[in-house]
Amino acid sequence: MPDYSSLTLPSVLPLSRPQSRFSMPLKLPCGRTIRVNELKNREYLNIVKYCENGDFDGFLQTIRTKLIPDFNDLNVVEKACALVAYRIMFLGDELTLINAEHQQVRSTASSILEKLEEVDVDRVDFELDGFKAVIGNIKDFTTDDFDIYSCVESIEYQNATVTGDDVISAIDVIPVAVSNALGHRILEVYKYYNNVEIVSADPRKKMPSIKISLVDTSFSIFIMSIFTSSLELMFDTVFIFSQHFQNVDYFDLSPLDSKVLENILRREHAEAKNESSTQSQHSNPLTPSL
Amino acid sequence: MSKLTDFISLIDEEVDTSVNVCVPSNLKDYSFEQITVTQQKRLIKGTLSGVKGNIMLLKTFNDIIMANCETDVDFLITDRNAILVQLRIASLGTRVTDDNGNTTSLNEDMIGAYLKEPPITDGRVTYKGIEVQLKTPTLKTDQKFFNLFEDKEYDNAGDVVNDLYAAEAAKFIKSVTIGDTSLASIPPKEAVKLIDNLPLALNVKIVDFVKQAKEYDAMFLKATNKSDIVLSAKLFNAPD
Repeated sequence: MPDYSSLTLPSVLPLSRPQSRFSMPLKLPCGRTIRVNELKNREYLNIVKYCENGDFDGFLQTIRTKLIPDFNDLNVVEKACALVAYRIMFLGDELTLINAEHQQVRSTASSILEKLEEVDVDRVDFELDGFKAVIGNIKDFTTDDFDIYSCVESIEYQNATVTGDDVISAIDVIPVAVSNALGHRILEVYKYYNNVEIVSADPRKKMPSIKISLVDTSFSIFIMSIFTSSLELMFDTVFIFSQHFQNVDYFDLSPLDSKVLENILRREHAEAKNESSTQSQHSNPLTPSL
Repeated sequence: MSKLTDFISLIDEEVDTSVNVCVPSNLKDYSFEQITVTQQKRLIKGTLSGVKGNIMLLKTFNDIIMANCETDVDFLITDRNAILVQLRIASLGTRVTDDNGNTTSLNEDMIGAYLKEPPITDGRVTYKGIEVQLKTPTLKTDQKFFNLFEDKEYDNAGDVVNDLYAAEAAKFIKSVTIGDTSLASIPPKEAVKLIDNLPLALNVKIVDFVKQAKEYDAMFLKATNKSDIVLSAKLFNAPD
């Protein structure tokens, strides 16, 4: 690790921040705007730990409770878009993914976002034996408790209509032939959720496309891969901050802020090193030039 | 009244979701409610977790039969497949997917024939002065044996299979008599221990009796193309 002991923190940098949470708007493909909280290293460290442990539930818990308060209200496509957009906002756009052939594929989160925005399902009407239902977007991409009926927005029989959270209870009392046919229709509508291309094939480089499913574990693996970083590298950064930025709470900074500070520090260190080598050259004219 | 309550009341009034099912052990018809989506989800969860999941799946099927029958009757375990298959046919028809993924049909003729010939429900086996009275267990007894597995953790699948094998035989024991000593109403845990300690020759005779009941039960899950239909959540999901 480089020796930063002789350096001081540049005075222009924001050393302390107000405690209030900074949030910003995020526009979703459906046109809806939600507010998201700035990602701090405190949460990011947790996210990286969850990703390293393959714990998608823990990851989502942090997203829901700390970072995207409206996350639960979004459907599966909006959730996917919100996560990728959030990644761009606070961790940058560049990505390196591994495809099924274990090849490294360089891409950008914004190109993935564009592809995800195309995956949207128009409402579909269903009718059988006097029962009418409207199929909307699937709400969740978790697999264990995945409920295909969660995308049913309303169910109607004669003059009685049920919407919202009551729909699941209503489906439970309809004839099994109707609920079964509705389930088949939903699976048919959402077939392509299982085959979403997020990175196009590159024939010149003989790279196949990368496809994921929004409703199985491949989605959680994909999302965690775009959020993760090296835990070891993060701990090194925490150490550098504790040594050189005593007035700064590393965990209260965003990953991008801390990266900027770290880069400035590294640059100053490089300049100081250059300067000292120039001085030693001047003091000893016999030293060969680099 | 909430919109959901209105909806449920309307369905209750206008849509008949009950099914008449003939039960082989007493050849009577009983009215059952169809399997609901929530019950289907419980069955799907059961299929997700290995050998223990299969035990829980049967327990869930027993629960469903007991919950959906409009009369409070403790059916025999040899009634289980007959009831489930008739419920399936009444709500979704005979078309099913077999074990190999082929679309076929449940054999209604065979089901009708077997319903008329229920298996023997009582038996007696002896070996060197030990007499065991056997009786096909009811669904409630079956549940008590399944409860033995519910909270038990297994390190390997072999242990579950051993326990399951012992429990399957033990649940058929009505009483054991050795000389003047007689044991009856044996609690499930003790019955499993007893099976482990009975002479092998006697166990073989008990297993033969159990086999007859199992074979009878399995006949209800034969398709017209002679293939076996697996008792799973998929049975209540009609093919496209």
